[in-house]
Amino acid sequence: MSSKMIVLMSSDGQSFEVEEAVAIQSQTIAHMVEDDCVADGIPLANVESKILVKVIEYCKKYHVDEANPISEEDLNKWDEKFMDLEQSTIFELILAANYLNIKSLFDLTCQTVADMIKGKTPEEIRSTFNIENDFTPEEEEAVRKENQWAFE
Amino acid sequence: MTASSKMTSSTTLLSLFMKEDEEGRNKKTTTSTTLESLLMKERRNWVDLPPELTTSILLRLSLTDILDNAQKVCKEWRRICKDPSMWRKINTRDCLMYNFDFVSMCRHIVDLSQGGLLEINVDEHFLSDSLLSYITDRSRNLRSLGLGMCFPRVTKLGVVNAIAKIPLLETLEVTHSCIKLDLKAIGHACPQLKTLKLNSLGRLWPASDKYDSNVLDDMGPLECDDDALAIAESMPKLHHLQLMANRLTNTGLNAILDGCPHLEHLDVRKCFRISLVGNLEKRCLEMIKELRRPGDSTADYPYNGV
Repeated sequence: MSSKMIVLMSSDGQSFEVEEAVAIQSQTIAHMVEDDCVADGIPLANVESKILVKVIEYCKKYHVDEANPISEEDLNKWDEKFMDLEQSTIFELILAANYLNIKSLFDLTCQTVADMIKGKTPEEIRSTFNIENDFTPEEEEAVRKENQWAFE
Repeated sequence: MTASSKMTSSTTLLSLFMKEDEEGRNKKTTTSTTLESLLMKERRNWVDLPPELTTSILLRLSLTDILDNAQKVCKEWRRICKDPSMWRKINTRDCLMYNFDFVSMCRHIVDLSQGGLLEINVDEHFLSDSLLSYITDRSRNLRSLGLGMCFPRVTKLGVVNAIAKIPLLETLEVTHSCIKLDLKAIGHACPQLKTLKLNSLGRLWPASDKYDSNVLDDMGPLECDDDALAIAESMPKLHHLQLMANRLTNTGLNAILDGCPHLEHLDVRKCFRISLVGNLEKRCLEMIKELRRPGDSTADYPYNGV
């Protein structure tokens, strides 16, 4: 049985041939396929090749059928390895998963970042994500006052 | 090179170029612009993530992590944490810290929701008529309400008055109920109710005159179809009914099947006064897609009390 292929084009001009069944895990791509505007390939202006490669890898893994059965436990382990990435890549993956509307990938990437925040103090969070503390001392005091219900 | 030292060296580099600019009439040199943009590309700033995406991340944190930590990281995160879109669903059950004035915190986050609250679960230790009223007064769009009600500061009338303000309610879950609810009034106040879960397992308080002592005695012989009949009469749109350790009999169950024609999920575990055999069993199996019987295991019940 032949599988229909479509071409995805990254923002930096690279083309990737992918099975349609795999690609339509992206709701965005699925709609384009429905609207029948994929003949010349699908340009993805917001996704560069380095990230598109990862997205395709994810979608291929999650295209589960009888020929490719996989347990939830194995998928979870695979997710963990898949998400062992640099922060900048995770950042771009979140944007891509959102733009391409791939819910499970979006959930996975957001959850990964949330797990990196859990249990950390504000200072630790800033350090992890390289975020600048832009509160003035007055603003910081205001935050503390507002949270008076937290006994310190 | 650690993140912080990276920042220092790049800031130093940039400032070197900037100094030159100040001397040379505030115009950025081509070199400094290129360097600046190179450095920007190197480290993606998490603060630059579109706010709705940051919200998606922060929503996955516990209340404690949001209020104690995330909102203190920077101005943008604080702005996001105060936005009503963060406060559409509140689950206080994951808030296990005891150094909180829970009631004040609860009021605070209800205020932040600015009327947009859709779902809330409130733990029993802190619930009172006044807090319940505070929540429903300000959350007229509430679709789902979860209450743990073992503490005596909640009254039958308090619940009715509070729930009367949330007519769009679709899901009501009450665990460890020590008071006899006016289910008829609740049903009539909430015509959209599709899911009702009333679980009397694991109550922590001894029988007393203040409460309906019969509710506390699930092993005794006393049967009572009050709840079942009230449900049958006032909740016609019910899809999902969970009545654990309730004292209803076959009469009550039949009434429910009559009065709730859309019922698909029925959980009557530990309802030992039902005898699920014969015609009644047949009726259930025909009508109900997912049936949990009186003797079924409660191992997966999340709120097993002491």
